[in-house]
Amino acid sequence: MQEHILSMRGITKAFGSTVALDNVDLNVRAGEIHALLGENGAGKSTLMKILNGVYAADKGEILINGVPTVFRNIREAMAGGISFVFQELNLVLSLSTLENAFLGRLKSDSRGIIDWKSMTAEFNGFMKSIDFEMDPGRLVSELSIAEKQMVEIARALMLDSKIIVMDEPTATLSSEEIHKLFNIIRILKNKGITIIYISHRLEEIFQICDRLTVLRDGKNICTLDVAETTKPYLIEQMVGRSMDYEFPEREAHPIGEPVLDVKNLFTPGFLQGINFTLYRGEILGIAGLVGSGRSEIARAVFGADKIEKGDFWVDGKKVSIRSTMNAKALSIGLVPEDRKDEGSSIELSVMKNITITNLDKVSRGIVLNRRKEVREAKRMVQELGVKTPSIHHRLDQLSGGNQQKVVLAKWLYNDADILILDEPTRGIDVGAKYEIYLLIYEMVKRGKSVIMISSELPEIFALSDRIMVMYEGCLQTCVENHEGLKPEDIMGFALG
Amino acid sequence: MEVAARPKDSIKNRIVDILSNNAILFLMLLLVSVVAILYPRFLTLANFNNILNQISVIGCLACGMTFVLLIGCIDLSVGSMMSLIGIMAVTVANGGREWLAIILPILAAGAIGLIKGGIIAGVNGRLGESFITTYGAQSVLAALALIIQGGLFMMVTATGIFTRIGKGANPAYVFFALIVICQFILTKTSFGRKLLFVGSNPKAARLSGVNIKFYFLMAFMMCGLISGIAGVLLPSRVMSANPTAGTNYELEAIAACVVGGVSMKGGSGSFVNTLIGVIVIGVLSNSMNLLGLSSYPQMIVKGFVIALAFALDVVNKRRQMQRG
Ligand SMILES: Nc1ncnc2c1ncn2[C@@H]1O[C@H](COP(=O)(O)OP(=O)(O)OP(=O)(O)O)[C@@H](O)[C@H]1O
Ligand SMILES: [Mg+2]
Repeated sequence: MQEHILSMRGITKAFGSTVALDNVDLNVRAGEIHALLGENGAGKSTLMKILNGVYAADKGEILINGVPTVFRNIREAMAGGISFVFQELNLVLSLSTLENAFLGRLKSDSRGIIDWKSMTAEFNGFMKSIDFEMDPGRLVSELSIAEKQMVEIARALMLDSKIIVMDEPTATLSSEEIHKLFNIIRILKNKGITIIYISHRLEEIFQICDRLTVLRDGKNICTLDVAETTKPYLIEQMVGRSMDYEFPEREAHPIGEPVLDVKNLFTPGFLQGINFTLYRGEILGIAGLVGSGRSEIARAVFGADKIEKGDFWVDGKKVSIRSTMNAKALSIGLVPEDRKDEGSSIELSVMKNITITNLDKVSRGIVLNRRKEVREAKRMVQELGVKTPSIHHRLDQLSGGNQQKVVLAKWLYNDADILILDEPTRGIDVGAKYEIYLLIYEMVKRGKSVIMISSELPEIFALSDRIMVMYEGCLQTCVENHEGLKPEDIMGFALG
Repeated sequence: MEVAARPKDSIKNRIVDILSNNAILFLMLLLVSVVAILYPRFLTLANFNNILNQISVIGCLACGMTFVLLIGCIDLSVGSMMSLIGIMAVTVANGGREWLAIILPILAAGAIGLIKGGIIAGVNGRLGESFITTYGAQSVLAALALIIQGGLFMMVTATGIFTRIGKGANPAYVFFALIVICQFILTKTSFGRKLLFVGSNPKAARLSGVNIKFYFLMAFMMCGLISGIAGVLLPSRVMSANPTAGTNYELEAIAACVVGGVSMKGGSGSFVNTLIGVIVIGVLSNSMNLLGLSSYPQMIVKGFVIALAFALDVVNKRRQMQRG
């Protein structure tokens, strides 16, 4: 029998009437990379938050190296040699990248004066080792979601912990960054560090993990060696039924006249003269690395960021898009990439988050029609399969993937003619993704148009009618997505 | 969407929950019982009226303040605004145009609110910016009141409607009407919903296509209008105005909101919270008056209650977090 560095036994945890974990066991061997899998709301994050003391378990015990241990908070867990990359990025937006990377453990010299120099050196050294460029002085509030994710990862990895828990570290990263991250994970493994790895991207499990544990509805399903299993089997274990395809079959759908024309779009210091056209009933995919300007296009078209110059035509008419109100009035919608910061208000209820994009639909004059609002919210929750005890629960009581579904729901509810989706399936499980793809098809069949930005190339390939590739603020190419197109063709452009 | 039934929560846990979630109300109940036993006079209709009189003007101010707190800001200038509005109202009323003396100052207060809101919306400000802006406004308005009035008391010589609106139970009616109307606006209209959403996460509100600047403007305008109402009621009740009549009222108003449970972070709370806070503070002051405490010890006690309300809030959030 191999030694277990971490053993969680009989963990039970209920939130109100929801049983998030029911007698769950997790045994992790020293030095392995152990995957924790399961659908949205299966209890993965909750289990990890019990480990680090964010939540107290109702029942069960935790053994570290065979010794019963209870951490009462993250600080104690860190001191006990466990560090965390949180799914919902625990960063202080008003502090700099460096300050966040060293949050709670700022270094000082012998006189008690904070030693910025050595921290900067350590940070830069670390970033260099993972081959990622980042200015330590920038405010975290200015960073893109992927950069925020890298700060969160850096913070955990610089700690020299014995166990590192990573809750969906790659959800917002593109293949390049993921590749870099995996390199460092392998280095950590060689140093004998144990990693608990949570992800909905199953390919990753086969690339780096040794063993895995599947949870479903808060219960243990199985623990396996990765080498002994296959993707379809895993999906079946997670979802509870077999799924033949990850993507719905592409159906021919009529593509009509241009609905959006973007000409010569420049943004301050970023986009360099972007031109493209979106047609009625079309799904236009945008590929590219993180920071290549994909989201900037989305934000500019939605009026969320200031543009330097550029012209927009909607339905053949020249329009000015100066604000998000302009864009919404033109029936344009945007699902932003950062759900916590920009996509939702996590302190408000599921219903309030969904209907905010179109309150007129559920009110007479300015008076809200409560019954109608409840009905609409319930309809959306059902359509997207959001797992929540009720539509009146606060968003932060939902699992990460379910929060993402709500962010999608709010714009599907608005039913805009042009919908821009920036990483729409971020953190969503395989089964639910399939349902979302069907919804996107449904939309374009009704004559809506969709721009879809995604770091997951298979997703772009499976759904898009055409694919645009961005590199350093420039549009590299725009190709028809025909049978023979290969991911390599696209990656070549994305790398410049 | 199935949810398994929760294992029975222990009775002890549930009692602690109920107690800690309503701690302020229970404390008040305790206080009321003790004072009622010591001073039977406390539970009379006359004293009840007395309390209502004492809380109504502050209550109106707190009501206006709630809008600003809900959107994540603060307004430190409502007290001095009230003084200025009072002087304005009495001046016009004494000139014989009593209806105008009621309406004009209220509109002026709304306009001043708009200006403050405009500045804060202009710089995309929140708590910090509004603190500075309204602190500045506070000293400007206070100075204006002193310059205009020269530091003197001003008696109301009018005899018509202006002298009646602040009498008897009228301010209390106005206060309750405001609470009902504002609560309706907040919970039943799209305006209120958007205001709450902006307060809770302005970035997300903007990316939902909400005109966030408009809601900052509106929150401050509502606060202005309602402080204007308070500013007219006060001189009508006490039959005089003076340039420092409203000094420190803003702090009382903020305290009432916070004690009642309106969050200073924005996006959380309601006018029912404000109502509770106003009553708690009112009953507390009244009890202390009956117990014969002088004003300085009273201030100390009030300070403790406010701190307690804050602390309870934090503790409750943490407990909820841990237990879910
Ligand atoms: N603070 C909370 N209050 C109430 N319920 C909660 C809370 N946190 C989690 N839950 C519930 O517990 C269940 C498990 O959530 P958890 O976040 O662990 O899921 P997950 O497996 O991490 O899912 P995802 O893949 O979507 O991140 C969900 O049904 C969720 O609604
Ligand atoms: Mg999770």
